[in-house]
Formats: sequence, C-alpha cells, structure tokens
Amino acid sequence: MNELTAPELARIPAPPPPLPLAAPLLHVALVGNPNCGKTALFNALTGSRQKVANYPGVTVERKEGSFVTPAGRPVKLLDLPGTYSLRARSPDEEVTREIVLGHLPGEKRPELLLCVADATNLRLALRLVLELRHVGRPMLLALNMFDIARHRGFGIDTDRLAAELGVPVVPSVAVRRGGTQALLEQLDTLADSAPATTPDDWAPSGRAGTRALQREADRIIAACVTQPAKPDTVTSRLDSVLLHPVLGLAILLAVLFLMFQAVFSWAQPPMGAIKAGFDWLGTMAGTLLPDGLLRSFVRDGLIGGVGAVLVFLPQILVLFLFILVLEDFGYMARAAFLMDRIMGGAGLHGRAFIPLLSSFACAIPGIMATRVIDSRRDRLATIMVAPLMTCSARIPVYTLVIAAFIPDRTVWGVLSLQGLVMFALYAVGIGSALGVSFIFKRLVWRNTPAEPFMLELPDYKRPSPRSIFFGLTQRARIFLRRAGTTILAMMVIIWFLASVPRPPADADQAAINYSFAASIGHFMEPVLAPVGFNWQINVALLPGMAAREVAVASLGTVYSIAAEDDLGANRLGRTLAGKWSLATALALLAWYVFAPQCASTLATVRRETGSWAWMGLLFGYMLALAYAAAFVTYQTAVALGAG
Amino acid sequence: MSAITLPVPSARPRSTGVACNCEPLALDPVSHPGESVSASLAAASRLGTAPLGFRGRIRAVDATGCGRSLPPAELERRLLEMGFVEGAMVEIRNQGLFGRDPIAIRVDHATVALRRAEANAIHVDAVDGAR
Repeated sequence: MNELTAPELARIPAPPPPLPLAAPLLHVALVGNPNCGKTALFNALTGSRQKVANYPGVTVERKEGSFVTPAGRPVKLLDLPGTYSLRARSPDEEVTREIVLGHLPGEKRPELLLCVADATNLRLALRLVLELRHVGRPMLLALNMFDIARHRGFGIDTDRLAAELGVPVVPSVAVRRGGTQALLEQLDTLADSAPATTPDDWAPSGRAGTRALQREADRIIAACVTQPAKPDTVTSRLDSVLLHPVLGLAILLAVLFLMFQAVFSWAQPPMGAIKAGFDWLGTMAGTLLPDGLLRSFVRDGLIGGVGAVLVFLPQILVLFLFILVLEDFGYMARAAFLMDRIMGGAGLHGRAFIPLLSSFACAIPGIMATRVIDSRRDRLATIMVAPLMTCSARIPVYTLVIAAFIPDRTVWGVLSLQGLVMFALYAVGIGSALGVSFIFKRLVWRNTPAEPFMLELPDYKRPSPRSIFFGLTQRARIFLRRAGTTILAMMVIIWFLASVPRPPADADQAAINYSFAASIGHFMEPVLAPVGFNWQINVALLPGMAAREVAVASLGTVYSIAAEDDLGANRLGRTLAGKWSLATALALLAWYVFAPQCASTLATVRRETGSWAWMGLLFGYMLALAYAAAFVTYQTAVALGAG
Repeated sequence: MSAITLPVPSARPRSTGVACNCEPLALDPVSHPGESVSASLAAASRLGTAPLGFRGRIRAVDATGCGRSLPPAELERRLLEMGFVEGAMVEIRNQGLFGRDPIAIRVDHATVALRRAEANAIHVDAVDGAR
C-alpha cells in the first residue's frame, strides 16, 4: 500500500529523450532539517559512490557522491549538514550557509538545491524552504518518508504545495527500491528546462522575520495538508515508557549494559578468526623467508604489528552497530534527554551524551560528534573529557594484563573477577571524566552561563538496514585506513628501534639489549621506576602514544625479539606473568585509564578546538593523572606486599 | 495518551479534516506581536511552570528575564526557530526525574526537549481538556 504508484507517478511528466552527447556535470546540494532522512536519501541516490572528507580549513565532514539520472546526466551530490535556518549557530550549519550562498572558497556553488523534508513533519522544513527561496538557486523539494506519512493518514496535495511554494515537489521513499524514481526524473526535467531563478537577496531574518516565515509555512500547510483523522500514537506510547523518569533511566542503563556485553561476547568469534589468520600468515612468513633481518621485519614488524590492531575491528563494528541502530531508531536524542540533568551536575550538556558514548569506541569520532553542541563552552568541556572514556584501543591492553594477572575465578557466586576488574576500569574512566569536567566548570568557566538544552526528539522509526550498513562500512574503512597508515608506520619504527643496531658477533645477551629501544627504555627508567615500569614497558609506552593498541603489539615485539623464538601473541600473557610483579601490572592498568592521548586524538583536538593551548592542556592533565594514578597504585600495591 | 488535535474549524475550500494546529493569521489571538510583549500576558501562564500533561496554545514568546543562558533576544529567536510561534498548540508529554526537568513538548507533529527555565519564555493559555 505504500508503493509510489498511482496518483503520484501519474503526475510526473514522461522522461525526456536520452541526451545525445555527454551531458555537462550537474552540481546538486542536499539541504534539510536534522532528522529529515537526508542521509538515507543521499545513500539511496548515490549508493556506494561516496567520498567522505573534510572541508578545507574547518573540521566539518564533507560527504559527496555521484549518480547518473535516467536521461544519462551525471550528477555530483553534496550532502550538507542539517539545519533549521541559514542563520547558522554551529560550525556545521555555517558550512551549509556558506555553500548555499556560494561563499566557501574552493567549493563550487551548487547549481540546484535539493531540499529534503520529512513528510510527516513539515512545519520547520517548509520555513527553511521559504528562506531558501531567497538564495537565488533553482530548487526541488523532496517529501521524504512519504509512505509513512500516507500510512498515518496525512493527505498532501503536492500540486497545490508546489504552486504555493513556487518550487517543484516530488514524493520520495529513500529506504525503498524505486522510491527515488520520481525524484530522479524531476531532476532531468529541471536541468533541461533551465528553471526560473528566485531573487538572490538572502539576509539573516530577525525575530519578526522568523515569525512571519513560520506563519506563512503554517498557512501553506493548512491549505495543502489534510491531517490524519486519528493521530499516530506509537511515538507517544513508546515515550511514556522510554522517557519515563525512573523506568526510562533503568532502560537506558540496560541498553548500555547490553551494548558492552555485545562488544565483549559477540565480537569474540570473528576476533579469533582474524587472530588465527594472522598467526598463520606469520608462520608462513617464518618458513618461507630465510632467517635474518628481513624475516624478523615481515613476521614481527609487519604481520605481528598490523594483526595485533586489526583484531579489534569486530569490536569497533559491534559498538558502532549499536550506536547507528539507536540513532536511526530515534533513541539517541532520548538518551540525551534522560541524561541532561545528571550530566548537568558535572557541568556537561545533555547533548554531550552522544559524543561521550561514541568515545567508548574511539575518542576521534566522539570529539568530532561534539559539533552538534552549539555553545563553545559546552563543546570544549566535552572535548576535554571525551578521551577519558575507555576507548576500544585500550581494550587490548586491559585484556592482556587482566588475563595474565587477575585470577580467573568467580566472586559472590556469579560474577567473574576478571570482568569486575574490567568494569572497574571503565567506571574509573567515567568517574574521572565527570570529576574533571566539574573542576573545569568551577575553574575555567566560572562566569560563563550554561547553554540552553533545546533538542528535537524525532518520531521513532524502524531502523533502515541499508543506512546502517552504509554507516558501518564507512567506519570500517576509516579504521582500516588508520591501521594501514599510522599504525603500520609506527610498527615499522618500533621494529627498527628494537632490531638495530644488531648485536655484536660475541654477544652474550638477547639481541634487543643492544638496540636503540633498550637505550631509550633505560633512559626513561629513572622517571618511571617509581611507578613500577621496567624498560620494556617504557619502550612500549612511546608507540602507545601513536595509537594505544600498538602498546600491546610493541610489548609482543620487544619480548618476542628478546626471547628470540616464535612467541605467539597468546603466549605473551604468560611471559608477562613471569616477568612483571602484580604491582607493576596494576600500575600499568591505572596508567592506561588516563593514558596520555594517542597522536591522532591530539591532532583531532587541535583541529576541533583550533588551538594548541587546549591540546597542550589535555595532554598535560592526562599525563599528570596517568603518572599520579600509576604511582599511587604501584606504591600501595607494594606496601600491601604485591611488589 | 492522546495527541494534539484541535476542533475542526468551519470547512474551507482546500482544507478538509482537521486543520493544522496553527490557524491563519486573522484568527490568532496575537496577530502581530512586536519585539516586546504587552502587560496583557499577566493572564497567561508560563510553559515552564506547567504540569505534565498540560495542553495549551502559545499566546506569546518573550524571553525577557528567562533563563540565564542566553541574551533574551537570542533565546527568543531559537525558540521561534524550533517552531514555538504564537498560535501553535503545545502539550507537555514527558519530564525528567530530577526537578521535573527537562520537559518534552509536542508542538504540532514534532517533539522538542527544553529545560523549564527556557520554557518559561513561552506564555500559554490552557486549552479545554488540560489536566
């Protein structure tokens, strides 16, 4: 019943004859409110032909894709950040305005604006369309989620709407095959007919202007839209449970608990497979290559190093699967609602919840997600504490040390002691994030007032597998690119430091004792001895700053080279258990709760805050906390007899 | 829980069924509010003080003296941009645990979350059927 067949299709003119020659490239930009299904439409139109980058000079994500219309016209489609008005309040919204007005240097002004509106929620969308009429670009309005609107009983007179707005209007269903056909054909018609341009006289509207535009939008809706006789109650019934003051919070906790359970259990089988694959590769390299520097480089440096990092791909994907599904369902904004008062006590904005949650996967997407926070103060506070959330890169360090040093037994009958320690490490991270943010609020922003909490809670909808699939592949690609560049480069450097210079012919110690790595590790000993770190750990800490998960791989490299035999990654733990005291192991865990940021996170903070000072402050305070935590842990453990 | 619906106004040529919550200009109680609002607001109540389940119509949006977060003119503009304009119907659907804050407000077919301090900038008249 929801197919775009009868009346809508009948209104669409027949497609123009195929273009004789290669048609010129058409530049189109997608504009719309947040939550209007813009990204789903972008995915439906461009499929996998997408490119994600940043706009030069700013850190706003630039998403561009391409497709060909039925008449054979190539189109470049730019997905602009969602906005309610061109009077931009955040860096994202500024990009939208600058591009629409043609003011962004190096960015071609779109030849056609494709406005997207949620057909079930037209008020704010139509006001944006009315505002966009003043930027002097031809426009096309797509009424997205048209099937849902019809199912709920909305009657939308698209002809009348087009006449009132002076803009062609087409229905679309981004999540269904063929749901964008009418839209594609209309694009051809528009491109052929050189549509009339509207005046190019946009200026920020004042309060009176905004009121007038909204009234005009409301008048048009009253004239063109028949409201459903029976209101849709799915969202309100779900909200009465999910936003319930007590029950809602309990459900949020349960969802988070389920999410972390999934990250640790669902991801195990593929992780095992990846690990087995790399072990096999390492063995192959060991038998195929002659003994010497090259074999060591390929087996320990390349395969061992990259393998140790790629193992975490399944965990990252499971975490993002949860985040994407909850976002698509409409729950993420509700989580911000539920957490606003609780986080407000620590000086954080309710909207900071989503970035902080993403930071459990990786601080980089988390910090980038802070762009949804309008006020600079709230944004900086969130950026400063996001790296304290235990990111997935710390999991390998935790897993390794916990498996080696914490006995595998149950406490109180049901809980695993190892799991409890893991949970405690996460809890310390969250607790210190709240504490640090509270201190920042008191010291740095004493006199700056808090930003209002103003957030649209979108109606619930069934998550689209297609959108989630696109989101996941994008995350996987970003992670793999990082593993193939930064992390690989660091592993090569570590391997080099640990292998060169070669030991003399009459060497009576392991080869690594003669290497640069040993010199660096010994050099750092006086500083790190009070926290219980030996020189092998010191060597691993340095590359751990490039990317934290590399620390495990480096320990593997350092110890396997030192042992001069085939030390499988699974045997590393046993080796460590023989070489470290419990106090050292606990100190390393404490260090990694705060672990000075990996280089990519610091670079992201520098870019997002536009300041070296904030980056330096972040690095400095985390380094100080890490040292202090490790020191206290080590000295306490030694005093208790665990040294 | 019931959604916001208005009594059907007298049928007009192009609009059948229930009209949009926001009626044409001429029917609005405050048709052309200036940049400041008159003292007649005394009769209306503030949305930020309303209980859960409250239903009403916006009489005026005026942020003078509301919320310490933003200059009043800026807060007013942001509320307008989220669809809180004179004549719109609002309903308080949900509220938080601590201090009954924030609140989720249904405006037409959208839901917007606000803190009570800022919602006080929205002056409303209760509509029949409100609890």
